[in-house]
Amino acid sequence: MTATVRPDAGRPERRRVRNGARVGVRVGAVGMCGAAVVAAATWVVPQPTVATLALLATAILVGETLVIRVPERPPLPLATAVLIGALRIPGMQLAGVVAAALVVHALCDDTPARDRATRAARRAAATAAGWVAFAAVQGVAGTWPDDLAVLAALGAGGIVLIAVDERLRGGPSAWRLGHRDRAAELALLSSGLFLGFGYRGVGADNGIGAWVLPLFLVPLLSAWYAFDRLATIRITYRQTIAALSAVPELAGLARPGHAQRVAELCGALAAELDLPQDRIQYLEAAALLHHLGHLCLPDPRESGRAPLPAEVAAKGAEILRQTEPLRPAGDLLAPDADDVAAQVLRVASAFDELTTGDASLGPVAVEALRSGPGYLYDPLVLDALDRVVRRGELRRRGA
Amino acid sequence: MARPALLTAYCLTLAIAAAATAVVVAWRGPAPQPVPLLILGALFAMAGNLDRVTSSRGFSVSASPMLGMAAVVVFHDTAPLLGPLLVGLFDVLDVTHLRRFEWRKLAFNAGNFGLSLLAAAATFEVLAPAGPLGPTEMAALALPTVVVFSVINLSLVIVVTWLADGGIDHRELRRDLLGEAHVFPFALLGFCLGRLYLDAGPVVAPLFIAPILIARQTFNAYVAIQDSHEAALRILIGALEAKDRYTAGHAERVARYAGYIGEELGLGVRRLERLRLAALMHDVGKLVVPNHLLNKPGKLTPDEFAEVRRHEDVSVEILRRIDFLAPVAPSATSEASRFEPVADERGQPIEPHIVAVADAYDAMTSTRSYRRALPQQEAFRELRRNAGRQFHPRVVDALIAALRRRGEVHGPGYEEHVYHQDAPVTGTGSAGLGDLLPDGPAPAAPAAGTAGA
Repeated sequence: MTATVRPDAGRPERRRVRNGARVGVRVGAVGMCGAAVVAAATWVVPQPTVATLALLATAILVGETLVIRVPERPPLPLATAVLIGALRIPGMQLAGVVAAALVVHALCDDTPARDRATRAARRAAATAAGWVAFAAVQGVAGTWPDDLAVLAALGAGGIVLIAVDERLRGGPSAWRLGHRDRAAELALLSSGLFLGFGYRGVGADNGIGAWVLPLFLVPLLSAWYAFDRLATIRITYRQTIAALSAVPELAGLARPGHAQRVAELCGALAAELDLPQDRIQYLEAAALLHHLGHLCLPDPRESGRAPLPAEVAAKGAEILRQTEPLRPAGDLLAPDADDVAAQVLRVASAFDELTTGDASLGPVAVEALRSGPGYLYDPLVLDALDRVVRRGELRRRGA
Repeated sequence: MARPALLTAYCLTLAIAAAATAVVVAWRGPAPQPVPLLILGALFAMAGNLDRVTSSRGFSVSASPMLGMAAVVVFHDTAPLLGPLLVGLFDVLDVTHLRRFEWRKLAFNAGNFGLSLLAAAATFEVLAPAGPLGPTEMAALALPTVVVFSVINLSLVIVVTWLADGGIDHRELRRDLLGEAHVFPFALLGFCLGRLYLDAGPVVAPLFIAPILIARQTFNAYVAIQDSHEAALRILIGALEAKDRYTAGHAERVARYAGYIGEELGLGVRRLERLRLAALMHDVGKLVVPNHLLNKPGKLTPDEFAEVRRHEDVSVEILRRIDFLAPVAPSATSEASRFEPVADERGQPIEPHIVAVADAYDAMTSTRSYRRALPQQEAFRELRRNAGRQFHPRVVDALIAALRRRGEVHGPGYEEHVYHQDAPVTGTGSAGLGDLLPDGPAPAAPAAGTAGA
């Protein structure tokens, strides 16, 4: 298991400046190919109109680029909702529409080719799995009332689609999170079901009524907007703490990069020790700010005496405890705190004082910490540190 | 002047009128089907119970008109008048008002919605052609229907505001009327929702509402986190500033004044948020400056000044690390915030100027180790005198207007803490650092002179 949370993990990807003309040509060419695929699919089973399929393909294409940013997990594309709604169209056409949209999206993306191919394959596989579940439930529910059968089949298909997509993507295990954190998926699922029901709704002869789409967009976009604001504020919050962590270093009171390295090591140790997610969050905040108290103590250049680490920690804890959201972090930092997270912080800080970021000193430093007076550091945490150091997970960086 | 008796009579009349109409219509015509009535009524009551979400321009958006329009379409074939009227009456299930037993509000709201929806439904019935409605007909019908709904609804609200407050606030009225413009797209969506309900069954209503509820909950979580974030940052900065008592509370006050100016200049919600954070952190670099320099009474030597000056670079560096604040990072430097008259102001961020003015105003109206606080009027005069040279004129006007409107006074006698009782009375030097310049511009007020050296 690797350290999953980095203080700068939530940094939003900056959009790269694209070469407009070249991308334009690519989009045009691929768009025509996509239209040809959609037309061919319609020709095979001429049920929904070409316009409907083109509309769906466009919606998927746009939805793949708009993502709901969820804390601590990879973002969820809005296209998931469109895919769920589209499960209701015949399988061949679904395959054509999804393939066209995913291929166009992969060609217009500017990430490495390998990532694009994996992503497209993953989305296609998830859709296929969703469609199988949809078809299976529809087969079972043949005798049920119409609405109920459609609801059950779409629901099963949607859940399988989302689950397979997240499983294939890997990353932090989403299944351990409580259902409260499933709100974004629930919004996507519900919107997808709505679209599925709206299929052949208002103004439709044989496809999705154009009138259903704006209706479908309202809840989806409002959810997207709300999640986006939430993600932004959380990132800002983290970055503010990370930025404040640099103040003691810029003031020459701590080694450059110390707080950042301690926070990373704390993340790795917390993952190794299987600490709960909310503790990890506070642990990282406490690690980033554990030198903050130094700023409020007499300047060593004037008083001639550097404050003891315990004094710095006590002052930092006093400051953090005054704030509502950071109080648990302050409790961790207090010199008399003795739960596992506090031990982790102390071990990580002492380790970095010894190695100053030089990974080659790691094993020596672990031994040094072990051979200190037995009651100083928790042996369990030291064991975890030993394992993390041996695996060489810490970034190699000069002192 | 409020008229309580008239207000009570008015609210009761509305409720009774709505109820009586319902009885008459029910007696003469068919009853609405229970399932759509209950589903739409429950959703309508729910929309009333949720707080309104206020958009970034200050217009508040409510789901009620949309659901009302959906009811007009849903009951078109069965109980065209009674259905919407009854759905409107469901607004009586307002938990907050019920719990406090504010029966006048309950009566008014239910009566208002019942009658407005009745009028809208009547308009729809008069105008609707016979036979099934296509998308084009619906789009054409949505406008008159929702206009009738809005006009009735707003008129009833204006009367009740007049009776309750004894007058009409014209600014507020204008904002309400402008805000009403958003109703049309929502009404159109309501029509679509109603049609879809008829075509695809009752399931669509909860499926439509669920993501909206999730979005609301998420939005509330965002607001809560944002508030606690700002509060935590204020406390952190405040605690760190405490090492340097001469500016205790400075960052928080600058953030507050910057917020006033931003509101006065009509910045959007996001820009205001960014401005307040940037103002809060504009001096964070000062934390790296040794105490003895910050608290030194009198002027600094050029070397010392250079060291103090370094703090601006540190502040900028720290603001740059926060993506949200990076665009306004120059707010922390005195160069970027200096006002240079340019022909074209577009594209020039105004935030650095706002922080500069708020910073200077707070510096002038608080006592520092080298100078007593100046009276507010003198600080205003100094800001005005330098407007167009050092300070952005619009920003200066906005600060003065905002403080006057709020009736806030700062300066000697209004400070929370004065740590330097023995500070000299000295010139008006306007920005914090300007005072410390070894060869700084000569203080302007002739009476005060340069006693600080």
